[in-house]
Amino acid sequence: MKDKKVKTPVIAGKKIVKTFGEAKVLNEINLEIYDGDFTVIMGTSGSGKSTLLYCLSGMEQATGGTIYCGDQTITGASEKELTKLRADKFGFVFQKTHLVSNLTLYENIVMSGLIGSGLSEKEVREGAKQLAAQMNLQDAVDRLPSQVSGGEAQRAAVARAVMGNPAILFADEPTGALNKANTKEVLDLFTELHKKGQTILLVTHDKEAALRGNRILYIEDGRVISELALSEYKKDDSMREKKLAVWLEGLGW
Amino acid sequence: MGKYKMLLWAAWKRQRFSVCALFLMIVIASLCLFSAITLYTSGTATVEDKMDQLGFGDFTVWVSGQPERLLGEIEQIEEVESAILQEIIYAGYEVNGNYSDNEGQLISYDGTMPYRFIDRNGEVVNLSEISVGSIYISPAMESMFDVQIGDTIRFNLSRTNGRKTFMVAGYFEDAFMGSSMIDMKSFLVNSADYEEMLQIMADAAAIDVLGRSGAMIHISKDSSSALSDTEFYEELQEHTELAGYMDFTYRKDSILSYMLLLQNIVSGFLMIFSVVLFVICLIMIKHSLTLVIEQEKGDMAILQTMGLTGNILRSIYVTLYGGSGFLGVVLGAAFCKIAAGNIARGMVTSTGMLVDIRTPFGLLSGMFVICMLVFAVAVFTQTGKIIHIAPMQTLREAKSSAKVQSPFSKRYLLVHIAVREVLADRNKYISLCLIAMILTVFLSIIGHMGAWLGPNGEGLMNSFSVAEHDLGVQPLNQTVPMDEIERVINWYSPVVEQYELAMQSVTVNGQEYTANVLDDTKWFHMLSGSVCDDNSILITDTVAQEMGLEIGDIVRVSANGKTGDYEVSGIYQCANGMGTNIGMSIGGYAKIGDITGYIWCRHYILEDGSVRDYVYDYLEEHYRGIDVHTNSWSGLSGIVLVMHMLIVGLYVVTAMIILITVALVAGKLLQSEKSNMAIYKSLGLYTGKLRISFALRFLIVVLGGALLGFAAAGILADPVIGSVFKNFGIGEFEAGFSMLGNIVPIIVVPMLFALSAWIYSARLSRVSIVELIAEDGE
Repeated sequence: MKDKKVKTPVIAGKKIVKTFGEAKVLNEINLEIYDGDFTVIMGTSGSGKSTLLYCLSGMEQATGGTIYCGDQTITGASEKELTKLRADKFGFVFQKTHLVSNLTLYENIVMSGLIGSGLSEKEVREGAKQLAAQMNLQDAVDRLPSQVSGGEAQRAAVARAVMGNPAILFADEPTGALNKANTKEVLDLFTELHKKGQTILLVTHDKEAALRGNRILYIEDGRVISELALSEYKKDDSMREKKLAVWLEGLGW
Repeated sequence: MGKYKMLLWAAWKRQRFSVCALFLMIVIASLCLFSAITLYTSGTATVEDKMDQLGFGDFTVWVSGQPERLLGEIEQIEEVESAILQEIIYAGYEVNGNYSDNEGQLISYDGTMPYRFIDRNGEVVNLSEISVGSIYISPAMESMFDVQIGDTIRFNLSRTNGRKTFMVAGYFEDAFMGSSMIDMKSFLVNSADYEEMLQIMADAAAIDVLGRSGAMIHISKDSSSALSDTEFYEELQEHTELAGYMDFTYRKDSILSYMLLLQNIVSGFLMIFSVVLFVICLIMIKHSLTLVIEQEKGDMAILQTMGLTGNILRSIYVTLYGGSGFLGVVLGAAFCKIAAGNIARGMVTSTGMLVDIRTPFGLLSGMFVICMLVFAVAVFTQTGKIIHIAPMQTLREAKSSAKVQSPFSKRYLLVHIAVREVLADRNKYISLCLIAMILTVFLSIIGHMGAWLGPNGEGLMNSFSVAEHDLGVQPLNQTVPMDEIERVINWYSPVVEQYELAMQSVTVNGQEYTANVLDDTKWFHMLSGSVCDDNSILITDTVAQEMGLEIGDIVRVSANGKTGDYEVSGIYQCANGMGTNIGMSIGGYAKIGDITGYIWCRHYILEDGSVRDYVYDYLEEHYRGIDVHTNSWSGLSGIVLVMHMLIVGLYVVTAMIILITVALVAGKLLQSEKSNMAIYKSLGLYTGKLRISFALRFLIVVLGGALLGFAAAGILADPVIGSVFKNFGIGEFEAGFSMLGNIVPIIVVPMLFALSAWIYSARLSRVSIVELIAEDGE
């Protein structure tokens, strides 16, 4: 476990602005995502939560402001620098699994390691096997994405995202397309990863998913208007639920 | 109607690139086909018309002396419709100081003859009179002697300063001798100059005269005559003194073949190319429609649930793809006249004729209907799958891929990704593989032809010559110091082999042919059977077909009034005179002809054949009374140039076809793989590497196709070219293994495909990960 007392930002953004034409989707947001935190961004549809994730991960260039990842500036970085950053430091999980359709689940996980990690091929293959086992995918690893359930595919997508030991795992509505049972499986995985020290930034509008985080940000009209810390209630689930419900009610959710 | 328009517009917006690319390919294919047909028919019609206008008839006989009596005899024959005599002067000549190997024939132009004149820009000019001292020549002289307007041509009429020099004032079309395939050339001069030349010859002592007067007699067979051309010719021989006057004779179809040789070869290859392109178009129609239906099956199912019938959806794609085919063929047909005109204009220095391009509406309409039917059937068949789409089943269907096994390793990751993509979607690549195979076969055929032709036309030289040689020297009188000449030749390069050849006129079963007589028959290029001896002869494929002869048949050969029966012992290769010749041994010819005169040309094969032109120049400059030649003819360079341009042109068009094919295939592939590409990018794979991997897929597939093409070309190339060349008297075509015919296509085709794919994949940089995520919705 990493020392939570030292708050080192993995990603930091100052006055992040993003406009699409006339519409200002992000409005001078200041934000730091700390190492080891499980940060959740909530908000209503169209509030700008996913856009914030894209900007922080460099998939979308911010119109204004500055975003850093450690000592590297993401805003204004070249496509090549951003690709390297994605390969070395970031992992992504999307709402749809977005696995490579003609690779098996195991090959999808391995592929990520081969492209991004500095590990040897042997280490990648062993790591992929371990991750597959950890994600309870032993029976499905040799199947194609089209031949497995949505939960299995999304678990494989999570495994692929963490294969290269990313500094931060970005997740955009990862349970949005799953049923209840599969949602729980995937969220349990995120919790497990967080416990092991993985920094996670999760965008969701699902309260169940949000409860897994230790820090929740609420975004509205392109601004972070409120923040809730759940770290201190980590062993009391009912208290966490209550706190979140009251907080969201206060925000008009 | 409104919904149809809306759907058509939507389909056009999605498919416009594929439809446009297909349209472009069909334009090129139909342009090649219609241009080739137009060129072929126009060329034939132009030459035939010109020959008719100039009174060629069914035969033209070139005779020496004053043959008025002969003309009278010919006219008396019942089967003869007309016989027209056209006086000429035969004389050797020099162009800008270079001697011609052959005599020229001078014709006095009186302003009424239907010759057409062309200026230096290839434009037709009217000319009522040729000024004194001026001469008009065939445009083919430009490629044969590099002669330009303003240059001088000097005719040697007698040894005693009997020379007449002219300045080239322009070009004229000579429908009998104008092609660079024919060495003897006609020249038009003023009647006063013509009379002066006759006077020079008349004034010279008989022993000094070099030029000679003569005539062309154009003989037409009566249209009601039941005689075949051969029988008619035998009739002429039998009832007139033709043999006593005659230098040589040509049938109308022989002259047509000579005149149109190059143009027909170009037309033939264009037609083959257009067939190749049409096949590629059909493959692309199948490929595009299969992928489109696969990709849009879901949308089509939704539209069907909304009440649209499969037939309406089908008609959208029939309209789009069928329409592009229709417009492509129409555009190709519309511009074929311009294209054929430009090709004809480009060949004018080899064909010697400015072909009048006439659109053969009937033939083109027929081809148009055939093309449209083929496209209609192809589009209609492919779109048939649309009406079989079951809406609910399609909507329920999960998009599934077939699982394939192929290795993955970090070291060759890009190659392995490429291999996996190809194996997983192999059906999408079959078309590409087929097209690569077809193009490789086609380029191999072109390459085989180029390799056979050689940089200096060696293939043509060998085909048209009786036997292999580097240099030929024929002494024309007893004063020629042949020992000294041979010492000179040996000084340049040791002589490896030598033999003697005489080319004499004979008749075979009454038909006029040239007999190639060798003192050593092993030098004949044998195709089948055995070499001739004193009792047998060799014939070419052309003679065999023309006379219906086979090995073992007995023929009657006549020369100088003597006759002998000979067995056909074999078929040999000599395209000279479009293959209208026979081979004889010296002993065989001696039975019917005189072998003691200065008829023998000594042929030398040099250790270093590259010096032959130097030896030729030296002998020409230092010795008189000899006829020196290399294994070439003056018009060869022009023909070789056109053939090389044809090869380059076909390579360029092939490269364009590859670019269009890649655009069609790659566009569809990238569209269907956008998601996978974005995933790879999100995993940290650079766009540059994705592009390399994408190009590698094409390289792998096309290399497979190219190797299949390589194998197919090994079987097909020589027979295909051989069957085309057989029409021109070249009985055997064997290019063998060559860089250009075998290796270059399997390197060039995959490299061009891969390069085009790499260029086209630049659009991968526009595949945005955000776009992928956006599909999830905010």
